[in-house]
Amino acid sequence: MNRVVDVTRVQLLEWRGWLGWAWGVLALSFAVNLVISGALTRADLAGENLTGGLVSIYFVILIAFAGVITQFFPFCLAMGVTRRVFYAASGLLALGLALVYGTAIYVLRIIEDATGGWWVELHFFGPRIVRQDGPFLQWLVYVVPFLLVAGLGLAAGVLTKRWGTNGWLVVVAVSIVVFGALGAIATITDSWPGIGSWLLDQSTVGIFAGWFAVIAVAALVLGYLALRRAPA
Amino acid sequence: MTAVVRVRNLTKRYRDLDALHDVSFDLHEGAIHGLLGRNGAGKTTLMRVLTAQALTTSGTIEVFGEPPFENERVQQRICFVGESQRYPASFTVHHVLEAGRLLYPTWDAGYAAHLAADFRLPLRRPASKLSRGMLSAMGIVVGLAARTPFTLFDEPYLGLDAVARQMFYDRLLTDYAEHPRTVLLSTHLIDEVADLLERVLLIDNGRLLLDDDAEALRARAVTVAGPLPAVDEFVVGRHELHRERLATFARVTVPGPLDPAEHDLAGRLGLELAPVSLQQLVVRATGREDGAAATADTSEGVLR
Repeated sequence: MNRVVDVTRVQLLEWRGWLGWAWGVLALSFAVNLVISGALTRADLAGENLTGGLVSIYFVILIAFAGVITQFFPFCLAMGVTRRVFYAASGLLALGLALVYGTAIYVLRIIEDATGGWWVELHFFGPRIVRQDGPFLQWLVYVVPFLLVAGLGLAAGVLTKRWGTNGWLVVVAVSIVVFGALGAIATITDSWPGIGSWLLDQSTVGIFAGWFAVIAVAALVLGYLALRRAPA
Repeated sequence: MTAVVRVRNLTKRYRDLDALHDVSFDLHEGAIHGLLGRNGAGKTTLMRVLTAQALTTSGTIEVFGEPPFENERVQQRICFVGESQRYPASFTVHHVLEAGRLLYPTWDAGYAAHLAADFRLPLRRPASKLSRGMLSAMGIVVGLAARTPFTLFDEPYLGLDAVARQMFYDRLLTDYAEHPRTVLLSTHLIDEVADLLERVLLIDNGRLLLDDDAEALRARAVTVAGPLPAVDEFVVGRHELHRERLATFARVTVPGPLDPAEHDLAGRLGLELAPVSLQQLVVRATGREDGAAATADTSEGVLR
Protein backbone atom coordinates (compact mmCIF):
# COMPACT_ATOMS: atom_id res chain seq x y z
CA MET A 1 0.00 0.00 0.00
CA ASN A 2 2.86 2.36 0.84
CA ARG A 3 4.27 1.69 -2.57
CA VAL A 4 0.94 2.61 -4.17
CA VAL A 5 0.91 5.90 -2.28
CA ASP A 6 4.51 6.59 -3.33
CA VAL A 7 3.60 6.08 -7.00
CA THR A 8 0.60 8.41 -6.59
CA ARG A 9 2.97 10.97 -5.11
CA VAL A 10 5.18 10.61 -8.18
CA GLN A 11 2.13 11.25 -10.37
CA LEU A 12 1.43 14.33 -8.26
CA LEU A 13 5.00 15.69 -8.22
CA GLU A 14 3.98 18.12 -10.91
CA TRP A 15 0.83 19.11 -8.95
CA ARG A 16 0.84 22.61 -10.38
CA GLY A 17 -0.11 21.13 -13.73
CA TRP A 18 -3.00 19.16 -12.22
CA LEU A 19 -4.34 22.24 -10.44
CA GLY A 20 -3.50 24.80 -13.09
CA TRP A 21 -4.98 23.14 -16.14
CA ALA A 22 -8.20 21.97 -14.52
CA TRP A 23 -9.04 25.12 -12.59
CA GLY A 24 -7.50 27.46 -15.14
CA VAL A 25 -9.75 26.16 -17.89
CA LEU A 26 -12.74 26.20 -15.55
CA ALA A 27 -11.94 29.76 -14.44
CA LEU A 28 -11.73 30.83 -18.07
CA SER A 29 -15.05 29.22 -18.86
CA PHE A 30 -16.54 30.82 -15.74
CA ALA A 31 -15.18 34.27 -16.64
CA VAL A 32 -16.69 34.10 -20.13
CA ASN A 33 -20.05 33.06 -18.69
CA LEU A 34 -19.88 35.77 -16.06
CA VAL A 35 -19.30 38.45 -18.69
CA ILE A 36 -22.16 37.17 -20.82
CA SER A 37 -24.49 36.94 -17.83
CA GLY A 38 -23.56 40.42 -16.72
CA ALA A 39 -24.34 41.78 -20.18
CA LEU A 40 -27.75 40.12 -20.32
CA THR A 41 -30.69 41.98 -18.91
CA ARG A 42 -33.39 40.28 -16.90
CA ALA A 43 -35.69 40.40 -19.87
CA ASP A 44 -33.28 38.31 -21.93
CA LEU A 45 -33.45 35.47 -19.48
CA ALA A 46 -36.16 32.97 -20.20
CA GLY A 47 -36.42 31.42 -16.79
CA GLU A 48 -32.80 30.54 -15.95
CA ASN A 49 -29.43 31.35 -17.43
CA LEU A 50 -28.31 27.82 -18.30
CA THR A 51 -24.69 27.04 -19.11
CA GLY A 52 -22.71 23.87 -19.61
CA GLY A 53 -19.37 25.52 -18.86
CA LEU A 54 -18.84 23.24 -15.87
CA VAL A 55 -18.20 20.36 -18.27
CA SER A 56 -14.82 21.91 -19.20
CA ILE A 57 -13.07 20.75 -16.01
CA TYR A 58 -14.30 17.19 -16.56
CA PHE A 59 -12.82 17.25 -20.07
CA VAL A 60 -9.47 18.42 -18.72
CA ILE A 61 -9.43 15.50 -16.28
CA LEU A 62 -10.33 13.06 -19.07
CA ILE A 63 -7.31 14.20 -21.07
CA ALA A 64 -5.05 14.31 -18.02
CA PHE A 65 -5.82 10.69 -17.13
CA ALA A 66 -5.11 9.51 -20.67
CA GLY A 67 -1.74 11.21 -20.14
CA VAL A 68 -1.21 9.29 -16.90
CA ILE A 69 -0.89 6.14 -19.01
CA THR A 70 0.95 7.49 -22.05
CA GLN A 71 3.41 9.60 -20.02
CA PHE A 72 3.82 8.10 -16.58
CA PHE A 73 3.42 4.40 -17.29
CA PRO A 74 6.67 3.89 -19.27
CA PHE A 75 8.53 6.13 -16.82
CA CYS A 76 7.32 4.37 -13.68
CA LEU A 77 7.92 0.88 -15.10
CA ALA A 78 11.52 1.78 -15.88
CA MET A 79 11.79 2.96 -12.25
CA GLY A 80 10.90 -0.45 -10.84
CA VAL A 81 7.12 -0.13 -10.45
CA THR A 82 4.87 -3.04 -11.40
CA ARG A 83 1.82 -2.63 -13.63
CA ARG A 84 -0.46 -3.64 -10.78
CA VAL A 85 0.90 -1.04 -8.38
CA PHE A 86 0.96 1.61 -11.09
CA TYR A 87 -2.68 1.02 -11.92
CA ALA A 88 -3.72 0.98 -8.27
CA ALA A 89 -1.89 4.30 -7.81
CA SER A 90 -3.70 5.75 -10.81
CA GLY A 91 -7.01 4.59 -9.35
CA LEU A 92 -6.10 6.15 -6.00
CA LEU A 93 -5.25 9.39 -7.79
CA ALA A 94 -8.61 9.29 -9.60
CA LEU A 95 -10.48 8.71 -6.35
CA GLY A 96 -8.63 11.41 -4.42
CA LEU A 97 -8.97 13.89 -7.22
CA ALA A 98 -12.71 13.17 -7.64
CA LEU A 99 -13.30 13.69 -3.92
CA VAL A 100 -11.32 16.95 -3.73
CA TYR A 101 -12.44 18.48 -7.00
CA GLY A 102 -16.05 17.31 -6.58
CA THR A 103 -16.19 18.79 -3.11
CA ALA A 104 -14.66 22.04 -4.33
CA ILE A 105 -17.34 22.37 -7.00
CA TYR A 106 -19.99 21.56 -4.42
CA VAL A 107 -18.66 24.36 -2.21
CA LEU A 108 -18.61 26.77 -5.16
CA ARG A 109 -22.19 25.79 -5.85
CA ILE A 110 -23.14 26.73 -2.28
CA ILE A 111 -21.44 30.10 -2.72
CA GLU A 112 -23.20 30.52 -6.04
CA ASP A 113 -26.57 29.97 -4.41
CA ALA A 114 -25.73 32.30 -1.51
CA THR A 115 -24.74 35.12 -3.84
CA GLY A 116 -27.76 34.81 -6.09
CA GLY A 117 -25.71 33.40 -8.97
CA TRP A 118 -22.68 35.62 -8.47
CA TRP A 119 -25.01 38.66 -8.38
CA VAL A 120 -25.92 38.18 -12.04
CA GLU A 121 -28.07 35.05 -11.77
CA LEU A 122 -25.42 32.88 -13.34
CA HIS A 123 -25.96 29.21 -12.49
CA PHE A 124 -22.54 28.01 -13.54
CA PHE A 125 -21.83 25.38 -10.86
CA GLY A 126 -25.46 24.46 -10.27
CA PRO A 127 -27.31 24.33 -13.59
CA ARG A 128 -30.89 23.12 -13.27
CA ILE A 129 -30.26 19.61 -14.59
CA VAL A 130 -27.83 18.68 -11.82
CA ARG A 131 -29.86 20.12 -8.94
CA GLN A 132 -30.61 17.67 -6.16
CA ASP A 133 -32.52 17.92 -2.93
CA GLY A 134 -30.17 16.46 -0.37
CA PRO A 135 -26.61 17.71 0.10
CA PHE A 136 -25.18 14.19 -0.13
CA LEU A 137 -26.89 13.40 -3.43
CA GLN A 138 -25.86 16.81 -4.73
CA TRP A 139 -22.25 16.13 -3.74
CA LEU A 140 -22.36 12.68 -5.41
CA VAL A 141 -23.56 14.25 -8.65
CA TYR A 142 -20.38 16.34 -8.71
CA VAL A 143 -17.95 13.63 -7.56
CA VAL A 144 -18.92 10.56 -9.57
CA PRO A 145 -18.56 12.18 -13.02
CA PHE A 146 -14.92 12.85 -12.11
CA LEU A 147 -14.49 9.11 -11.57
CA LEU A 148 -16.18 8.50 -14.91
CA VAL A 149 -13.85 10.78 -16.90
CA ALA A 150 -10.80 9.52 -15.00
CA GLY A 151 -11.78 5.92 -15.75
CA LEU A 152 -12.50 6.67 -19.40
CA GLY A 153 -9.24 8.61 -19.66
CA LEU A 154 -7.23 5.73 -18.21
CA ALA A 155 -8.96 3.24 -20.52
CA ALA A 156 -8.31 5.49 -23.53
CA GLY A 157 -4.67 5.83 -22.50
CA VAL A 158 -4.29 2.07 -22.16
CA LEU A 159 -5.91 1.52 -25.56
CA THR A 160 -3.50 4.01 -27.14
CA LYS A 161 -0.50 2.61 -25.28
CA ARG A 162 -1.17 -1.02 -26.10
CA TRP A 163 -2.76 -0.99 -29.55
CA GLY A 164 -2.24 2.53 -30.91
CA THR A 165 -4.20 3.77 -33.92
CA ASN A 166 -5.26 0.28 -34.94
CA GLY A 167 -6.81 -0.19 -31.51
CA TRP A 168 -8.91 2.94 -31.94
CA LEU A 169 -9.97 1.91 -35.45
CA VAL A 170 -11.12 -1.47 -34.14
CA VAL A 171 -13.04 0.20 -31.30
CA VAL A 172 -14.76 2.55 -33.74
CA ALA A 173 -15.57 -0.29 -36.14
CA VAL A 174 -16.92 -2.53 -33.39
CA SER A 175 -18.98 0.36 -31.96
CA ILE A 176 -20.56 1.02 -35.36
CA VAL A 177 -21.49 -2.64 -35.74
CA VAL A 178 -22.76 -3.07 -32.18
CA PHE A 179 -24.79 0.14 -31.98
CA GLY A 180 -26.01 -0.33 -35.55
CA ALA A 181 -27.22 -3.83 -34.67
CA LEU A 182 -28.86 -2.64 -31.46
CA GLY A 183 -30.56 0.18 -33.37
CA ALA A 184 -31.79 -2.27 -35.99
CA ILE A 185 -33.13 -4.61 -33.33
CA ALA A 186 -34.88 -1.70 -31.60
CA THR A 187 -36.45 -0.68 -34.92
CA ILE A 188 -37.55 -4.19 -35.89
CA THR A 189 -39.02 -4.92 -32.48
CA ASP A 190 -40.53 -1.43 -32.41
CA SER A 191 -39.05 -0.73 -28.98
CA TRP A 192 -37.88 2.89 -29.49
CA PRO A 193 -40.79 4.38 -27.53
CA GLY A 194 -39.99 2.04 -24.63
CA ILE A 195 -36.30 3.00 -24.71
CA GLY A 196 -37.21 6.69 -24.87
CA SER A 197 -39.48 6.57 -21.87
CA TRP A 198 -36.95 4.45 -19.94
CA LEU A 199 -34.31 7.12 -20.55
CA LEU A 200 -36.70 9.89 -19.52
CA ASP A 201 -37.55 7.96 -16.38
CA GLN A 202 -33.94 7.98 -15.21
CA SER A 203 -33.33 10.50 -12.47
CA THR A 204 -30.35 12.85 -12.49
CA VAL A 205 -28.85 10.95 -9.58
CA GLY A 206 -29.54 7.69 -11.35
CA ILE A 207 -27.53 8.84 -14.35
CA PHE A 208 -24.81 10.96 -12.73
CA ALA A 209 -24.14 8.84 -9.67
CA GLY A 210 -25.51 5.45 -10.75
CA TRP A 211 -24.86 4.79 -14.42
CA PHE A 212 -21.73 6.90 -14.49
CA ALA A 213 -20.29 4.87 -11.63
CA VAL A 214 -21.12 1.63 -13.46
CA ILE A 215 -19.41 2.84 -16.64
CA ALA A 216 -16.43 4.15 -14.64
CA VAL A 217 -15.91 0.79 -12.95
CA ALA A 218 -16.27 -1.04 -16.27
CA ALA A 219 -13.68 1.26 -17.88
CA LEU A 220 -11.29 0.83 -14.96
CA VAL A 221 -11.60 -2.97 -15.06
CA LEU A 222 -11.15 -3.17 -18.84
CA GLY A 223 -8.19 -0.77 -18.60
CA TYR A 224 -6.54 -2.96 -16.00
CA LEU A 225 -7.07 -6.16 -17.97
CA ALA A 226 -5.41 -4.57 -21.01
CA LEU A 227 -2.58 -2.94 -19.07
CA ARG A 228 -1.73 -6.09 -17.13
CA ARG A 229 0.19 -7.50 -20.09
CA ALA A 230 1.13 -4.27 -21.85
CA PRO A 231 4.76 -3.53 -22.67
CA ALA A 232 6.06 -0.32 -21.14
CA MET B 1 29.84 -16.40 -7.56
CA THR B 2 26.11 -16.22 -7.16
CA ALA B 3 23.92 -15.65 -10.15
CA VAL B 4 21.76 -12.56 -9.79
CA VAL B 5 20.11 -13.19 -13.12
CA ARG B 6 19.40 -16.62 -14.56
CA VAL B 7 18.02 -16.85 -18.08
CA ARG B 8 17.11 -20.15 -19.71
CA ASN B 9 15.98 -20.78 -23.29
CA LEU B 10 14.58 -17.30 -23.58
CA THR B 11 12.77 -16.54 -26.81
CA LYS B 12 10.99 -13.31 -27.68
CA ARG B 13 9.03 -13.31 -30.90
CA TYR B 14 7.49 -10.33 -32.68
CA ARG B 15 5.10 -11.68 -35.31
CA ASP B 16 7.42 -13.73 -37.50
CA LEU B 17 10.68 -12.30 -36.19
CA ASP B 18 12.66 -13.88 -33.35
CA ALA B 19 14.10 -10.87 -31.57
CA LEU B 20 15.68 -13.28 -29.11
CA HIS B 21 16.18 -16.94 -29.85
CA ASP B 22 16.82 -19.60 -27.22
CA VAL B 23 19.11 -17.41 -25.10
CA SER B 24 20.56 -18.82 -21.87
CA PHE B 25 23.05 -17.16 -19.52
CA ASP B 26 23.72 -16.06 -15.95
CA LEU B 27 24.74 -12.65 -14.68
CA HIS B 28 26.99 -12.78 -11.65
CA GLU B 29 26.60 -10.79 -8.49
CA GLY B 30 28.82 -7.75 -8.21
CA ALA B 31 30.17 -7.67 -11.74
CA ILE B 32 29.95 -5.25 -14.64
CA HIS B 33 28.70 -7.07 -17.71
CA GLY B 34 28.96 -5.69 -21.21
CA LEU B 35 26.13 -6.48 -23.58
CA LEU B 36 27.55 -6.13 -27.06
CA GLY B 37 26.12 -6.58 -30.51
CA ARG B 38 25.15 -4.73 -33.65
CA ASN B 39 22.10 -2.55 -34.13
CA GLY B 40 19.02 -4.74 -34.09
CA ALA B 41 20.89 -7.64 -32.51
CA GLY B 42 18.39 -7.79 -29.64
CA LYS B 43 20.23 -5.90 -26.89
CA THR B 44 17.38 -3.55 -25.99
CA THR B 45 14.81 -6.33 -26.28
CA LEU B 46 16.85 -8.48 -23.91
CA MET B 47 17.09 -5.65 -21.36
CA ARG B 48 13.40 -4.88 -21.63
CA VAL B 49 12.51 -8.50 -21.02
CA LEU B 50 14.94 -8.83 -18.09
CA THR B 51 13.35 -5.81 -16.41
CA ALA B 52 9.79 -6.97 -17.17
CA GLN B 53 9.15 -3.96 -19.38
CA ALA B 54 8.28 -6.43 -22.11
CA LEU B 55 6.94 -9.99 -21.93
CA THR B 56 8.71 -13.18 -22.91
CA THR B 57 7.39 -15.55 -25.57
CA SER B 58 8.95 -18.63 -23.98
CA GLY B 59 11.74 -19.57 -21.62
CA THR B 60 12.39 -18.54 -18.05
CA ILE B 61 13.96 -15.52 -16.37
CA GLU B 62 14.90 -15.32 -12.72
CA VAL B 63 16.19 -12.16 -11.10
CA PHE B 64 17.26 -12.53 -7.46
CA GLY B 65 15.86 -16.05 -7.70
CA GLU B 66 12.34 -15.05 -8.74
CA PRO B 67 10.55 -14.28 -12.00
CA PRO B 68 10.64 -10.47 -12.29
CA PHE B 69 7.33 -9.97 -14.09
CA GLU B 70 4.89 -8.07 -11.85
CA ASN B 71 7.11 -8.92 -8.89
CA GLU B 72 7.18 -6.00 -6.47
CA ARG B 73 10.09 -7.27 -4.39
CA VAL B 74 12.29 -7.84 -7.41
CA GLN B 75 11.32 -4.74 -9.39
CA GLN B 76 12.25 -2.34 -6.61
CA ARG B 77 15.80 -3.66 -6.84
CA ILE B 78 16.09 -3.08 -10.59
CA CYS B 79 16.81 0.18 -12.36
CA PHE B 80 16.61 0.32 -16.15
CA VAL B 81 18.12 3.31 -17.90
CA GLY B 82 16.80 3.08 -21.44
CA GLU B 83 18.32 4.76 -24.43
CA SER B 84 14.95 6.20 -25.48
CA GLN B 85 13.38 6.39 -22.03
CA ARG B 86 10.23 8.50 -21.98
CA TYR B 87 9.73 11.02 -19.21
CA PRO B 88 6.47 12.82 -18.40
CA ALA B 89 6.66 15.92 -20.59
CA SER B 90 6.05 18.34 -17.74
CA PHE B 91 8.66 16.72 -15.46
CA THR B 92 11.79 18.72 -14.77
CA VAL B 93 15.12 17.13 -13.89
CA HIS B 94 14.25 17.90 -10.28
CA HIS B 95 10.97 15.95 -10.58
CA VAL B 96 12.73 12.95 -12.08
CA LEU B 97 15.20 12.87 -9.19
CA GLU B 98 12.33 13.25 -6.69
CA ALA B 99 10.61 10.29 -8.35
CA GLY B 100 13.80 8.28 -7.89
CA ARG B 101 13.82 9.15 -4.20
CA LEU B 102 10.20 8.07 -3.81
CA LEU B 103 10.50 4.84 -5.77
CA TYR B 104 13.89 3.38 -4.80
CA PRO B 105 14.58 2.32 -1.21
CA THR B 106 18.30 2.44 -2.05
CA TRP B 107 18.20 5.96 -3.60
CA ASP B 108 20.93 8.35 -2.43
CA ALA B 109 19.54 11.89 -2.80
CA GLY B 110 22.82 13.60 -1.87
CA TYR B 111 24.73 11.60 -4.45
CA ALA B 112 22.04 12.34 -7.07
CA ALA B 113 22.32 16.10 -6.45
CA HIS B 114 26.09 15.85 -6.62
CA LEU B 115 26.00 13.94 -9.92
CA ALA B 116 23.43 16.31 -11.41
CA ALA B 117 25.77 19.21 -10.66
CA ASP B 118 28.75 17.35 -12.13
CA PHE B 119 26.86 16.70 -15.35
CA ARG B 120 25.66 20.33 -15.32
CA LEU B 121 22.00 19.35 -15.46
CA PRO B 122 19.55 22.29 -15.29
CA LEU B 123 17.32 21.12 -12.43
CA ARG B 124 14.34 23.31 -13.33
CA ARG B 125 14.25 22.52 -17.04
CA PRO B 126 11.45 20.21 -18.26
CA ALA B 127 12.53 16.88 -19.72
CA SER B 128 10.88 17.82 -23.01
CA LYS B 129 13.34 20.71 -23.38
CA LEU B 130 16.51 18.78 -22.59
CA SER B 131 19.02 18.05 -25.32
CA ARG B 132 19.82 14.46 -26.25
CA GLY B 133 23.00 14.63 -24.22
CA MET B 134 21.23 16.05 -21.16
CA LEU B 135 18.59 13.32 -21.34
CA SER B 136 21.36 10.74 -21.38
CA ALA B 137 23.08 12.43 -18.45
CA MET B 138 19.83 12.46 -16.49
CA GLY B 139 19.41 8.72 -17.14
CA ILE B 140 22.95 8.12 -15.93
CA VAL B 141 22.32 10.11 -12.74
CA VAL B 142 19.18 8.05 -12.05
CA GLY B 143 20.96 4.77 -12.77
CA LEU B 144 23.90 5.57 -10.49
CA ALA B 145 21.99 7.24 -7.63
CA ALA B 146 19.35 4.50 -7.49
CA ARG B 147 22.10 2.15 -6.28
CA THR B 148 19.87 -0.79 -7.12
CA PRO B 149 21.47 -4.23 -6.79
CA PHE B 150 20.77 -4.79 -10.49
CA THR B 151 21.22 -1.79 -12.78
CA LEU B 152 20.91 -1.78 -16.56
CA PHE B 153 22.23 0.92 -18.87
CA ASP B 154 21.11 0.70 -22.49
CA GLU B 155 23.53 2.77 -24.59
CA PRO B 156 23.49 5.47 -21.93
CA TYR B 157 25.95 7.78 -23.67
CA LEU B 158 23.96 8.95 -26.73
CA GLY B 159 24.68 12.61 -27.38
CA LEU B 160 27.22 12.83 -24.56
CA ASP B 161 30.55 14.46 -25.31
CA ALA B 162 33.82 12.69 -24.57
CA VAL B 163 34.26 14.47 -21.23
CA ALA B 164 30.83 13.48 -19.98
CA ARG B 165 31.29 9.89 -21.18
CA GLN B 166 34.58 9.64 -19.33
CA MET B 167 32.87 11.08 -16.26
CA PHE B 168 30.20 8.38 -16.52
CA TYR B 169 32.79 5.60 -16.69
CA ASP B 170 34.75 7.09 -13.78
CA ARG B 171 31.70 7.56 -11.59
CA LEU B 172 30.41 4.11 -12.41
CA LEU B 173 33.71 2.51 -11.41
CA THR B 174 34.12 4.57 -8.23
CA ASP B 175 30.57 4.08 -7.01
CA TYR B 176 30.61 0.45 -8.02
CA ALA B 177 33.70 -0.09 -5.88
CA GLU B 178 31.99 1.45 -2.84
CA HIS B 179 28.55 -0.02 -3.51
CA PRO B 180 29.02 -3.28 -5.42
CA ARG B 181 26.12 -4.22 -7.61
CA THR B 182 25.38 -6.11 -10.78
CA VAL B 183 25.55 -3.92 -13.86
CA LEU B 184 24.54 -4.74 -17.40
CA LEU B 185 25.78 -2.14 -19.87
CA SER B 186 24.94 -2.27 -23.56
CA THR B 187 27.18 -0.24 -25.79
CA HIS B 188 28.63 0.27 -29.24
CA LEU B 189 31.67 2.15 -27.94
CA ILE B 190 33.38 -1.10 -27.07
CA ASP B 191 36.95 0.13 -26.81
CA GLU B 192 35.87 2.91 -24.45
CA VAL B 193 34.40 0.51 -21.92
CA ALA B 194 36.62 -2.50 -22.51
CA ASP B 195 38.54 -1.89 -19.28
CA LEU B 196 35.33 -1.58 -17.27
CA LEU B 197 33.91 -4.92 -18.26
CA GLU B 198 34.45 -8.06 -16.28
CA ARG B 199 32.10 -10.21 -18.34
CA VAL B 200 31.04 -9.91 -21.93
CA LEU B 201 27.85 -11.10 -23.59
CA LEU B 202 27.69 -10.83 -27.33
CA ILE B 203 24.45 -11.26 -29.19
CA ASP B 204 23.77 -11.26 -32.87
CA ASN B 205 20.47 -11.79 -34.64
CA GLY B 206 18.83 -12.57 -31.32
CA ARG B 207 21.27 -15.36 -30.52
CA LEU B 208 23.88 -15.37 -27.80
CA LEU B 209 27.25 -15.80 -29.55
CA LEU B 210 29.45 -15.38 -26.55
CA ASP B 211 29.37 -15.25 -22.76
CA ASP B 212 32.77 -15.13 -21.12
CA ASP B 213 35.24 -13.29 -18.92
CA ALA B 214 36.58 -10.20 -20.64
CA GLU B 215 40.09 -11.29 -19.70
CA ALA B 216 39.74 -14.77 -21.15
CA LEU B 217 38.18 -13.28 -24.22
CA ARG B 218 41.11 -11.03 -24.92
CA ALA B 219 43.42 -14.03 -24.80
CA ARG B 220 41.33 -15.92 -27.30
CA ALA B 221 42.98 -14.36 -30.29
CA VAL B 222 46.37 -12.85 -31.04
CA THR B 223 47.48 -10.68 -33.91
CA VAL B 224 50.83 -11.46 -35.43
CA ALA B 225 52.39 -8.69 -37.46
CA GLY B 226 55.66 -8.45 -39.42
CA PRO B 227 57.27 -9.18 -42.78
CA LEU B 228 55.14 -11.52 -44.89
CA PRO B 229 57.56 -14.52 -45.03
CA ALA B 230 58.12 -14.45 -41.27
CA VAL B 231 54.41 -14.20 -40.57
CA ASP B 232 53.70 -17.05 -42.96
CA GLU B 233 56.34 -19.18 -41.23
CA PHE B 234 54.78 -18.48 -37.85
CA VAL B 235 51.14 -19.13 -38.79
CA VAL B 236 51.72 -22.21 -40.93
CA GLY B 237 49.33 -24.95 -39.89
CA ARG B 238 47.28 -22.55 -37.75
CA HIS B 239 43.68 -21.52 -38.24
CA GLU B 240 43.72 -17.99 -39.62
CA LEU B 241 40.89 -15.85 -38.32
CA HIS B 242 41.81 -12.78 -40.24
CA ARG B 243 44.55 -11.64 -42.61
CA GLU B 244 45.53 -8.20 -43.76
CA ARG B 245 48.36 -7.55 -46.21
CA LEU B 246 50.14 -4.39 -47.19
CA ALA B 247 52.89 -4.96 -49.78
CA THR B 248 55.44 -7.19 -47.98
CA PHE B 249 53.91 -6.62 -44.56
CA ALA B 250 51.22 -8.88 -43.10
CA ARG B 251 48.99 -8.93 -40.04
CA VAL B 252 47.27 -12.21 -39.20
CA THR B 253 44.94 -13.01 -36.35
CA VAL B 254 45.17 -16.52 -34.91
CA PRO B 255 43.44 -18.21 -31.99
CA GLY B 256 45.20 -17.72 -28.66
CA PRO B 257 46.60 -17.97 -26.15
CA LEU B 258 50.17 -18.61 -27.23
CA ASP B 259 52.57 -20.62 -25.06
CA PRO B 260 56.09 -19.35 -24.08
CA ALA B 261 57.76 -21.35 -26.87
CA GLU B 262 55.51 -19.64 -29.40
CA HIS B 263 56.36 -16.26 -27.91
CA ASP B 264 60.05 -17.11 -28.30
CA LEU B 265 59.53 -18.14 -31.91
CA ALA B 266 57.74 -14.88 -32.63
CA GLY B 267 60.60 -12.97 -31.04
CA ARG B 268 63.21 -14.81 -33.13
CA LEU B 269 61.26 -14.12 -36.31
CA GLY B 270 61.03 -10.43 -35.40
CA LEU B 271 57.24 -10.51 -35.23
CA GLU B 272 55.05 -8.24 -33.21
CA LEU B 273 52.39 -9.91 -31.05
CA ALA B 274 49.35 -7.96 -29.90
CA PRO B 275 46.18 -9.01 -28.17
CA VAL B 276 43.06 -8.45 -30.21
CA SER B 277 40.93 -5.66 -28.83
CA LEU B 278 37.44 -6.48 -27.70
CA GLN B 279 36.11 -4.26 -30.44
CA GLN B 280 38.01 -6.13 -33.15
CA LEU B 281 36.82 -9.41 -31.71
CA VAL B 282 33.24 -8.26 -31.86
CA VAL B 283 33.62 -6.93 -35.38
CA ARG B 284 35.12 -10.21 -36.54
CA ALA B 285 32.46 -12.27 -34.81
CA THR B 286 29.48 -10.32 -36.06
CA GLY B 287 30.73 -8.80 -39.33
CA ARG B 288 28.57 -9.51 -42.34
CA GLU B 289 30.79 -8.42 -45.20
CA ASP B 290 31.94 -11.93 -46.14
CA GLY B 291 28.49 -13.42 -46.10
CA ALA B 292 26.83 -15.56 -43.50
CA ALA B 293 28.89 -18.70 -44.05
CA ALA B 294 32.22 -16.95 -43.64
CA THR B 295 30.95 -15.17 -40.55
CA ALA B 296 29.83 -18.38 -38.95
CA ASP B 297 33.25 -19.82 -39.71
CA THR B 298 35.11 -16.82 -38.28
CA SER B 299 33.01 -16.62 -35.17
CA GLU B 300 33.43 -20.35 -34.60
CA GLY B 301 37.16 -19.81 -34.83
CA VAL B 302 37.24 -16.90 -32.44
CA LEU B 303 34.72 -18.15 -30.02
CA ARG B 304 35.36 -21.84 -29.59
